[in-house]
Amino acid sequence: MNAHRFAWCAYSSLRCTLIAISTALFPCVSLCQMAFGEGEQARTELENRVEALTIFSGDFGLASGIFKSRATVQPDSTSATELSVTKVGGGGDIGDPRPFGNFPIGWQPRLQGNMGYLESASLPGPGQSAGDHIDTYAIEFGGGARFWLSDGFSLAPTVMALYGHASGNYYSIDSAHPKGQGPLGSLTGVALNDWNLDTWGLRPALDLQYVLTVGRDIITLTSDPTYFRMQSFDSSDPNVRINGNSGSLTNKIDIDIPLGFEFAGHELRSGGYLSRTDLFGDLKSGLAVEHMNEIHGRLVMDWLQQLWKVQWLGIGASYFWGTNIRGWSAGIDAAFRF
Amino acid sequence: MCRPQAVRKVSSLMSPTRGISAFILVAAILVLAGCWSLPGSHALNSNRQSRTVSPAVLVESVTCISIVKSVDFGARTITLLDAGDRLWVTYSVDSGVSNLGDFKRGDHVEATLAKRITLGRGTPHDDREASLAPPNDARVLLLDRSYRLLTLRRANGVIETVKISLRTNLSEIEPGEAVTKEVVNVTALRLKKRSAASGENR
Repeated sequence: MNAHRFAWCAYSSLRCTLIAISTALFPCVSLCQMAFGEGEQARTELENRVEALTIFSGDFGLASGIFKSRATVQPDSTSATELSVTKVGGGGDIGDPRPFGNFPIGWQPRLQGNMGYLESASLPGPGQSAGDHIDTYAIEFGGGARFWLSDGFSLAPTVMALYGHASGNYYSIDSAHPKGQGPLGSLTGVALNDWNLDTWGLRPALDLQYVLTVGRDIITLTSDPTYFRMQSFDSSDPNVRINGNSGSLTNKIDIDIPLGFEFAGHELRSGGYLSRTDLFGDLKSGLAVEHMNEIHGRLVMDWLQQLWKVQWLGIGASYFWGTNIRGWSAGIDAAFRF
Repeated sequence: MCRPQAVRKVSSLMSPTRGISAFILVAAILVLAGCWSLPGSHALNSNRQSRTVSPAVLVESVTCISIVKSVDFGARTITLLDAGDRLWVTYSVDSGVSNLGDFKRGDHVEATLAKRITLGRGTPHDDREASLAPPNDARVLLLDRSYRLLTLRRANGVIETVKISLRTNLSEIEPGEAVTKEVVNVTALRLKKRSAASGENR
């Protein structure tokens, strides 16, 4: 009776800081060196960035937290971006597995959803005169089914739809190029001040899971290949469009350990997970991150069969590291079982 | 505006490396896939013998909303309507319950019941007499040792899940085992709705 869990995470007012050295991430960084012919490239980079931030804010499978990133694409250029991300979401299998026809396979319906909000502020680095501010909010919902091929191994194909809205401002501390009229704007033909963009996307994914019980400890191995197809449908500027493909592959090992003693009538449980997420396509180029590792720890109270559908409730924290990125997150750790 | 890079991005996501990874995934699926069985089906097909020695399995408190039929303050018993079976059941009331005299016939109360499961059919626990409620014979369908959840299939076909005490030795329990479930006593009573007749009497 495992794996029909609906996890929920809420990280309130998480601040994410990205210190990047990449023109791919921050098109406003190297305006002085930009030739006119590079305008198209800069616009594509801006679109990739917006696409990546939309996915990052709206996808329930990608982490949220406080990040510091150092890209090394162009070491002689520096700038800083601060991100603030808040996410509420999760996914879970509904009910107990039931037979799938006459096959020796069990199945459960699965639901997934997420809402997220992201604020991104690029700050001009030394010798630079421009920055920008991007807000993104996104909502994602979908589902599928989990098929149990054995008592421990299952796979869950899912499809989700994602809607995102991004808006931004370009600003300059150089009085010769006031906001929205700087060199990037003239080169790309994009009105960078007060722009906004609506995006939708499809997110097919396959969750492979193997659950192993050792004594009272539960070990869960998961692998999540995910594909994103994103497209804009409404933009304040016809020259800014999103039409891209992204992907991610997350491999995770989770361990859930009952501690054997109670607090306030509820058994305490500990555990956590170690995961690695590889990014592909526009998500990789837009964030300038190739992969990200996460180690998570939690201390929770067992409420299963004692309070509605609550499985556990407690606190959790993560540390992230990977290509050009490191960070942490902390918040409420809760899980539900339906 | 033509955007050929979208096509290139798709092809980059389908590189030979991805193909090898997909092959490894499929191979892993075939290796890990065994045969799924309906949870509890082994238990239902089991012919496990009942125990001659029956350790008690303490079940944590369960709360339910019931209607009061009668209260015997002297014998410290209360008769409530069992919501599941729609039967009047008399429970002994724990000595720690101080508000027993507050309840009258027809009152809706929230009762906290301490339940106990005894392994082995027809081998009552020594303290069985403490409970006036009729025992329910059942069979262990599933046991989640990690979260201490015991799923039982009662004789009338009703399936219920209970959380067993942390003090219980889980190694004593196996799916398919016959059990007897009984209420030990009522450990708390809380008024939810006063009956109209009771209000007039007061």
